[in-house]
Amino acid sequence: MSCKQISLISNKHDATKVSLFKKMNRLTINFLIAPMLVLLTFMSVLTETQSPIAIPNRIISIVPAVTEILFAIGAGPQVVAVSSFDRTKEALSKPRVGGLLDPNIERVLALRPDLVILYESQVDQQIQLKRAEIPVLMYQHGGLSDVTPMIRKLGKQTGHIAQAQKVATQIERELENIRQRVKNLTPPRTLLVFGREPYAIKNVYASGGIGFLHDMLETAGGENVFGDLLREAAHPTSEMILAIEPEVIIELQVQGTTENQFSSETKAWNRFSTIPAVRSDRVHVLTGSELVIPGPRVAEVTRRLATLLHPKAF
Amino acid sequence: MLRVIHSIRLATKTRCLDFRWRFGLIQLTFGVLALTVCIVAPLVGPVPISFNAVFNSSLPFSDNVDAQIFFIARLPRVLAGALVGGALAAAGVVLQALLRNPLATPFTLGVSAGASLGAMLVLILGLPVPIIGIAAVPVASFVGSLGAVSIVYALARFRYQGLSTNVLLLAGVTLNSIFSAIILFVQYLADYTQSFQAIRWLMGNLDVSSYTPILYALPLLTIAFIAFASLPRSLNLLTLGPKSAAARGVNVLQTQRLAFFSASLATGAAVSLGGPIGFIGIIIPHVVRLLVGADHRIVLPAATLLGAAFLVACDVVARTFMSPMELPVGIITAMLGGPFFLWLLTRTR
Amino acid sequence: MNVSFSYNTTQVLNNISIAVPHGGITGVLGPNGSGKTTLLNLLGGLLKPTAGYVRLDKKDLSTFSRSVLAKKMAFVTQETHLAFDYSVLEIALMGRYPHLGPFQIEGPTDIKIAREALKITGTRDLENRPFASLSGGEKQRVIIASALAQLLQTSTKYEFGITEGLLLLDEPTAALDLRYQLEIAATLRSLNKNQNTTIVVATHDLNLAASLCDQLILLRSGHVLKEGPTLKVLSAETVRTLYNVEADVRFDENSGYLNITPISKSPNA
Repeated sequence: MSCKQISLISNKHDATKVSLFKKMNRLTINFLIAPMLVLLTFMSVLTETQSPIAIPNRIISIVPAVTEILFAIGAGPQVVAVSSFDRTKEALSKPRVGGLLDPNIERVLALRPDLVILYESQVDQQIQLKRAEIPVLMYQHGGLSDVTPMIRKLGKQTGHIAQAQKVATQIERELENIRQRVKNLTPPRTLLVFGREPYAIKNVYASGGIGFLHDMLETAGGENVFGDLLREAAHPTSEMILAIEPEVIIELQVQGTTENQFSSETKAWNRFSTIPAVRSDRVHVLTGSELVIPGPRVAEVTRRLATLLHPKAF
Repeated sequence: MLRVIHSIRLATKTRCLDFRWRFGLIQLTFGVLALTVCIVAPLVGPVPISFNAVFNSSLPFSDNVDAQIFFIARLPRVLAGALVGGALAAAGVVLQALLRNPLATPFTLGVSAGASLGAMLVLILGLPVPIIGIAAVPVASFVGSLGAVSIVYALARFRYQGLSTNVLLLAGVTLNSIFSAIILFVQYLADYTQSFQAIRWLMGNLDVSSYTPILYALPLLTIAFIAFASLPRSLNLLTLGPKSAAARGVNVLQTQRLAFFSASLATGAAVSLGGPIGFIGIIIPHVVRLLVGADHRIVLPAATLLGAAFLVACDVVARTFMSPMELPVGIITAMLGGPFFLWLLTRTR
Repeated sequence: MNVSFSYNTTQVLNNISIAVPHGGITGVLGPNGSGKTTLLNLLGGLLKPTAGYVRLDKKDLSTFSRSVLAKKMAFVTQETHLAFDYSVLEIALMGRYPHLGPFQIEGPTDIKIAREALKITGTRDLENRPFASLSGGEKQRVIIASALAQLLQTSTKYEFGITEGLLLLDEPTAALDLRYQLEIAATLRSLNKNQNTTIVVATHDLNLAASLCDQLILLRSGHVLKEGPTLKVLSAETVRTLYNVEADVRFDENSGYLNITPISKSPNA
């Protein structure tokens, strides 16, 4: 709790007190102020690592998903720095302070933020910031259904409740729309790949049965071939891919890909000429950073996936 | 089976059998071992397949999942494993003889560091298009290994009339450190997902899933092995020291150069095919020497065969042990190779 | 066979001209750093002179191919450290390298010759022992046998002899204790007598040189001090000049050799 906030509280309190002063006895008021101050201090201690009561104006976000959400709900001007992995247009102009593995606390402190959003696992950094008495919000990586609550939460904390609500509801509506349209369609067995060695089907990483990639896939009307795997990532070998016989393969490539790369990356799957996805020419390589970020564009991405999975319905 | 090995060892150590007989017997034993492993390996894996189904010609290939798994996923893997295992083991033998140091490995002279750096640069910085149809990573890693080898060789020849093996060793070790530092730096700069890919590559992976990389590595390995074929006797004499070898008529400089380049070529090709898989290059030569003596004419081919068998076997374990997860094969080679070697050492003392 | 050498190598040896007589035991004597090893290396063809020439049988060394040279000359280094464990017989067989074609395997003749070489140096019964398990003296004798194997040729079907051979040894007894020193000296003497091997030994051991060699080449800082028969060349004066040591040099009737006993350092040392 910073002194600034206590004084803010007591200032506010003083303001109300002035009008009541006429009605109340001075002694009584003193008796009221003290316990209320104590109570408020006590409550602020409880909510220490949660949002400050005031609206933060200097937000630093180390989580790209959160950055995107902040910009989407109109809190962009309040953001002073972003993570090194933020690639969106709006984030480009902001200074960078590192990412999951290498957050630069010095830079963070130098920018004098009043709210820092960290990954759940960055416990050391949280302790450091606590010592500097900077409020911290720990971001928890969740599934698709955790995105809109996060949007609303951030809206509340940054003073953009209405806009956050609008964005969140729009996403929910869009997702519901997609769900309805694919409801009665047979979901094709899909392999959702998010990483592999370039131009080779080696070291393949695919979405497991947990996580927002899986959720997006299922919402879009696809059946994740690794749906029963209780992990976020599956690491299948060629053998597994052959055995599993996916009907559709969707690859998410984060970085920009040229025409040439698209075709060669797609062609790389041709060595598995016998799997249904290759035979029916349903191997799709998608590109864009929004593909793997559980942020405000999830609905967009889900729609893209749905279009690929059920072209006739979209 | 142990008794057979024991009796062969006795026979070889006391030379009561003629050289030709010993050679033939030993290579036959190891050859049979390698062949058996390579035949059985593609039939074993996390997904059970049946031998009959694989070779059932009545079923069209596109519907025969068992055959698909056998020919597309497993067989290339086994072939790659045999080539990589054999190449690394042979390179280990040659380099240990060249450097006259039983602790030398194929990676001592910087080849693997160069290969890793090449692969890292592609995985992390990204190269635009595949080169002549081959995936970029193996090509870059091979080019990287050539680069490292050239630097090491240039350093070793810099001020010496001959080829100083001491300088070679020092240059290799230094290059390894420098390149490792660069690799760490590049990884640090990388995206978290790219970094992960890079780390996985460094653990070694034989899942080539296509015959193309094997076909590209084959000519390189053939050249290396042709060179290897001419080296064994000179390597024997080199053990006495360059002077003594020269006094007995060995062209020491030529032998050293040939040994260095062929071993580096074999290692570079092997690493670009399967990543830097450790332990084979140091364990297999020693195991073979413990079993058959130090004569390189026998050790070199035997080590090649045993290396192939060993790596293929380790790969089978890697993909079945924690199925459906696949362990990096380098971990298995270390975990199996180390204790086995210790056991062998205690038995022969 | 007439062996003559004339060469100069700057930095280590300066403008030396010597001749090694055929059939005898010649010693190259001198303090450490006088260039003995370099001289021996030059003689053996392991080093090329920066100026001058080295000739064997009136032909320059460089005109001989490697294997031909190896059949005529054998070199024994001071110490041998093996990286891997070979058996004694395998090491002796290594000497047959120059006699074999590129992929030729040692035949029964080669094995017989190797065994004969081991017999000559008295190490035949160690045949199957690993080299590393031998004592210092045994190791050195095995190495000498290996060098001999280079030179031995069949003269008749069952006997082996050296028709012409040159054995160069670099400080063969430097690291050995007394008993082994005597063993090696005896072996070399018998080689010279029975096999007619020309031997050149580089050493700094005065008494060894005195007892073993019949010719001496005295080297000092890259120059030849004196050259000639031992009895003439080795004297208190030469010892003083070479080693800056006062020594008593006298002929010992019993052994038939010169005996050198160092007394003290020279005053102007």
